[in-house]
Amino acid sequence: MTEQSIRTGNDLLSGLAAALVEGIVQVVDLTHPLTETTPVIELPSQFAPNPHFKLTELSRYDERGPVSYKNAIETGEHVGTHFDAPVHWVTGRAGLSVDEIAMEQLVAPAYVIDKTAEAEEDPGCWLTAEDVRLFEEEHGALAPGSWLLLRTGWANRHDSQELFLNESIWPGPDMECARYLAASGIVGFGTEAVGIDHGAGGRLDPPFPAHYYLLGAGKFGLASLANLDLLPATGALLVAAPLRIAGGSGSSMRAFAFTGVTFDTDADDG
Amino acid sequence: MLIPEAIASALAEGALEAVDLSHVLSERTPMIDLPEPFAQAPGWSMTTLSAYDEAGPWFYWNSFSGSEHMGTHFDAPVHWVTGRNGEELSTIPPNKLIGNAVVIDRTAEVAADPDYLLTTEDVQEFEQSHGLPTDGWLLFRTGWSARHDDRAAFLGTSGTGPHWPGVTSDCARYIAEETSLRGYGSEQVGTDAGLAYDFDPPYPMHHFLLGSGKYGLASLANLHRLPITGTLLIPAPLRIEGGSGSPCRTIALIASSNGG
Repeated sequence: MTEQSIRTGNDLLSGLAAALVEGIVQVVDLTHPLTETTPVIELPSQFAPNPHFKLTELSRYDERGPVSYKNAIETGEHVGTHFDAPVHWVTGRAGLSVDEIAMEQLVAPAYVIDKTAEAEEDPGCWLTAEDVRLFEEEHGALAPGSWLLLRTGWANRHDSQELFLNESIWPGPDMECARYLAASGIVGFGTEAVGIDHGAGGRLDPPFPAHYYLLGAGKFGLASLANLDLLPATGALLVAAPLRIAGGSGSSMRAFAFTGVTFDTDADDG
Repeated sequence: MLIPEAIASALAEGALEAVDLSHVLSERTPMIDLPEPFAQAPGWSMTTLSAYDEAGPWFYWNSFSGSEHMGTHFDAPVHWVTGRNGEELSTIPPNKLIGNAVVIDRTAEVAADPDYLLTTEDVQEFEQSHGLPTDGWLLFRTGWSARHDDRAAFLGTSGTGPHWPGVTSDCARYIAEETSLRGYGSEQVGTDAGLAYDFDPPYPMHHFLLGSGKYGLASLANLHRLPITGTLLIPAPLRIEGGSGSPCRTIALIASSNGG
């Protein structure tokens, strides 16, 4: 690396830091708060249930700890805004666990495909390969190493397990779309729903095709994302930060996006 | 090109690097031992829910439990009684977490003296040479993270323990009250020295830093890979509602120094 590019790197970082302070670049929190009522996926009774997030107070400026407040935590790995590593699925069992994923893959550009209007009309709508191809016609082919995020407005239901799970009717990719994305150069696929598959994904063959094909191809999943409506279709930088759990299949995580444009109501469209 | 796009390209081309400052979380993650009357915090524990078996034929997943303050972790102001009216974890906006970071290196001094304490003068001298970033982070590099896999060495309990480096009481007060820093991070199990229970006030970094509404980061890894100035630090604690802290994936963006 030459001195020139070190300067460029440093200039970029100081530029980013300054732009954050000035508000030219914003950080969007793509994470829902984690609570005991955070919705979790419900599986048929023959399978092990996914435990809810639980906080247990250890001390609160009292005899258990006069100067400190702290809690113990307990949760399933795939609870709230969370990350799916390839080993989460049987097709990815030879792939990476969550602690093995290189940092460079966790800081990457994101595309946002907007199906909000369709999801409002039909909460069981599907993301098709044709949708993705049309998006690529408009914005260019999905660049290798980028994320594709599906925006549906589903995050607005997150305060209610009932609305969020909606009797297993929520939007997601169909079979052909899952195959198309698995064959593409993306690093992973993210969604606002409780998991990366469609609500009816368990009834397809193979069941849960987004998990089956994407994780099987060594790609990653992001679920229960918030605030995707604040992101542009292209140009955001996503930071996905799962806990570095030894051998973990995934993790509740914090996710941020850096965006360069304001999307308030006063701003110009496009 | 928008700045986030330029950052993405520079990462892809190798002009920028993303460095992981987080240790792996496992049952071997060392936990702090607190003196009486403090309640001990539980260590990391993981239970497999299914592993491509009858409990879930297509999938492998786990549940886990532990403490908010374990492994590479984040301290929110409400963690300490002096910050009890301050922010809890889920209400901290991300633009307050992310900022420039500078690194003060005392690796050699700590190798000679595990009870080494950073002083106000040390910080002032550093400030004169390099400056301290407004709303940014000061990271204390000591080489301590090399001990992370050896619990006794990490907690300094082999002799009359607990022995690990930290800051003097006045230095904690200075960082908290007289600088425009937003946070302080260290490689040790906590932001205070091993013997800080006996300082005045006890645990002065927690006392002053969190009391000033600032943030702490502990058990950081890979600080030796960071430049003295020029790091963009991205701490990413879980967004626990009412949380006093959280295990925290921590990412540093730096200009690449070795071939892209």
